[in-house]
Amino acid sequence: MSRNNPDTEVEDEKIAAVIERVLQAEQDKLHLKNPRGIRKDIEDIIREEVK
Amino acid sequence: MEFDTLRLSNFRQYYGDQSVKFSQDEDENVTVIHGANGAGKSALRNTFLWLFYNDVDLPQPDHVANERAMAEADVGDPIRVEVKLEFDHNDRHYWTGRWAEYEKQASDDLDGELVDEGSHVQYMDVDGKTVTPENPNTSLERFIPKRLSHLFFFHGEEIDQLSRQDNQDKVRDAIRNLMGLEILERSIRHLKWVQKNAFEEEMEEYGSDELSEYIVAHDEKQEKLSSKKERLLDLEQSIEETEGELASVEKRLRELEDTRELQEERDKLEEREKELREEIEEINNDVRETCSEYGYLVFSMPAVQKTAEALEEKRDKGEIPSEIKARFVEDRLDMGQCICGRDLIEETDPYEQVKDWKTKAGTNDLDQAATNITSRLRGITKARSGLFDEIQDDLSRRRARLDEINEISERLDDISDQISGKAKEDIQELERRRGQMEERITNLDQEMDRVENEIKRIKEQISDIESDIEDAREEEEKSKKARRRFIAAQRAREELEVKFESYQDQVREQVDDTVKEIFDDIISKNYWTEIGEDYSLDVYKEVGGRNDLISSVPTSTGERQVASLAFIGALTYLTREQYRSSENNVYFQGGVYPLVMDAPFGYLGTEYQRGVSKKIPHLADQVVVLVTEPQWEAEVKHHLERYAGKQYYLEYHDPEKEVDIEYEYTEIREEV
Repeated sequence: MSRNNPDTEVEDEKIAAVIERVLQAEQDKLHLKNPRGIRKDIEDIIREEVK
Repeated sequence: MEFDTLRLSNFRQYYGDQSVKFSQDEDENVTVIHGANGAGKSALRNTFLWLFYNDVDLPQPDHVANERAMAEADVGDPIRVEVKLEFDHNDRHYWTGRWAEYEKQASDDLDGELVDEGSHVQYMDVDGKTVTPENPNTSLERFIPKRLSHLFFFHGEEIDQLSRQDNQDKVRDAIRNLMGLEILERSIRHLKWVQKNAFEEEMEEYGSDELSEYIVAHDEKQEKLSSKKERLLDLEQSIEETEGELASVEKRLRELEDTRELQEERDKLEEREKELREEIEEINNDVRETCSEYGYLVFSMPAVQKTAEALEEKRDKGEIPSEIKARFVEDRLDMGQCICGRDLIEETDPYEQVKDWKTKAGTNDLDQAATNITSRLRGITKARSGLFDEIQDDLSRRRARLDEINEISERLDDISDQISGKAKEDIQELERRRGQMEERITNLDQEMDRVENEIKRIKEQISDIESDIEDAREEEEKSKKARRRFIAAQRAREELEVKFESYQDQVREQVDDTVKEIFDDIISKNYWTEIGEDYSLDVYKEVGGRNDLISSVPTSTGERQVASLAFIGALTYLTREQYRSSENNVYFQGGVYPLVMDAPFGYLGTEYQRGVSKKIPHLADQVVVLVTEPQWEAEVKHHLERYAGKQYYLEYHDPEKEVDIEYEYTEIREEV
């Protein structure tokens, strides 16, 4: 499933949620050639999903 | 997206208010707009670009206000240019628009100065609720990305460029964007950035070995604290025990205090007894000495008595002179006074009596000897008597002392009875012990103070370390969290990379197949298309048994135009199919896009025109075709007209041909 260390283990469900939300965030800014703020959005998504 | 109505006002050569109602009929999905060269077909296509992207792909792009409207305005008057588009998109009905207000600066000013501009977007959702997005420009750009606008609002005479090798970027961009690859690509890139720049840095920032060091230090301090606490308990116990002992000694001392006086009295009595016994011994010695020295008096008394009687007898017989000397008697007589004090007067009786003693007086020598013997005998008698007295006195004194000793003994017995049953302990020893105990308690108290201070200090140190541990734990927790987030970003990226690797080949094959199919439907010769590994859109022709790449051959513009058209058609088809499928794919959601084709038959020969015109209605759900009259002839008209749900004619007013007008303008007229 994930890395051996239980302290830093991340559940598959969280990875799936991160992926889905990241893709959606990218989808929302796909029309922009330079999607400003997307990195922060992704960082926030991961922070929210992995607490 | 499905267009409903386009309304324009004073945009470029369209004077006043004009509108186009697009065909939304499923079977007649084509809207044909006829117009001569220069009548405004490209301007009409540009209404979409201006509306969605605030951009104009025309000569003099800043010149959007209609010249006639500008000319008719007075100096200082505002001229409003506006494009509105009503359409349906993803189950919502939209009202969109862009406007610009120009102010005429001079009487001959036909451009005006832009004084204000804006856009708006409003839609009605499935519940009938009207929503106005806050940022209309962003909303407008999101319907169709600007960089893909050349696919959906294309100019036929330029579309062949898609299949030129130097334009493979556009092809790749289109495929990646519309088919979801760009989302995957961007996600991978951005996740990688976030992984490194956000979480890796955070891991480094918070990661350290301090926590383990603090825990070791904490354990050591706790151990020390336990040791000190144990010592403190020992001390407390020792103090308690010593205090108990002290209390016991003090109790004994208090008890002994009661006997102190008796003991002191006993000591005095014993001392007195000792003195008395010494005195008795002295008395005994005195008696022994007296007896030794004068004891003979007791045994010589009969002889002395007998001698005295003999002398008396002799005296009485006058054998030995009297005791009184004649001279003494004469002196008494001369003095006229007896030794008894009586006056001796001559011839008186006392005188005669004393005078008579004169005759009785012996001679001097004998008298002296008799007198001496008698005196000695008297002395012996007297000494004997004194001896007895002295011995008697000594005995009396000894008796007195013995009596006192007896009294003392009785008192000592009494005292002994009184203090009997009570330990005959030494008060001084008890006092010494008490002093030792008090000193020990003092020492223990002092050590307790020291230990308590040490415990306090250790506790403070532990508290500090615990605070450090808490901070370090928080840091470690942050580090762990950052690590987990780093891993989450990494795994998400890796999964998307795997997906991307397989999906991009799948997409390329899918697009390649679809383009081939559409191209084959239009051109049935031995040409074929291929989406290359580098995403180039290539057209091949079999010549003499070998494949010749002809995409770069200038004379093959028609094939390249058809290939480009097939490519656009393939993308609209695939995205539409995806949109309508039940597959829930975040990165490839698909969509329904209309096609606005300006002069799609530009470089095509009759055969290709026929193939394209037959295919156009099937390339998208809604197609807007802008054609010149010559292009709308024969095969094109034949194959397209039955799909044309709406047709419009661009009526161009040329001041060179119409004397009553000063400036050119175009009016849109629907053909019924």
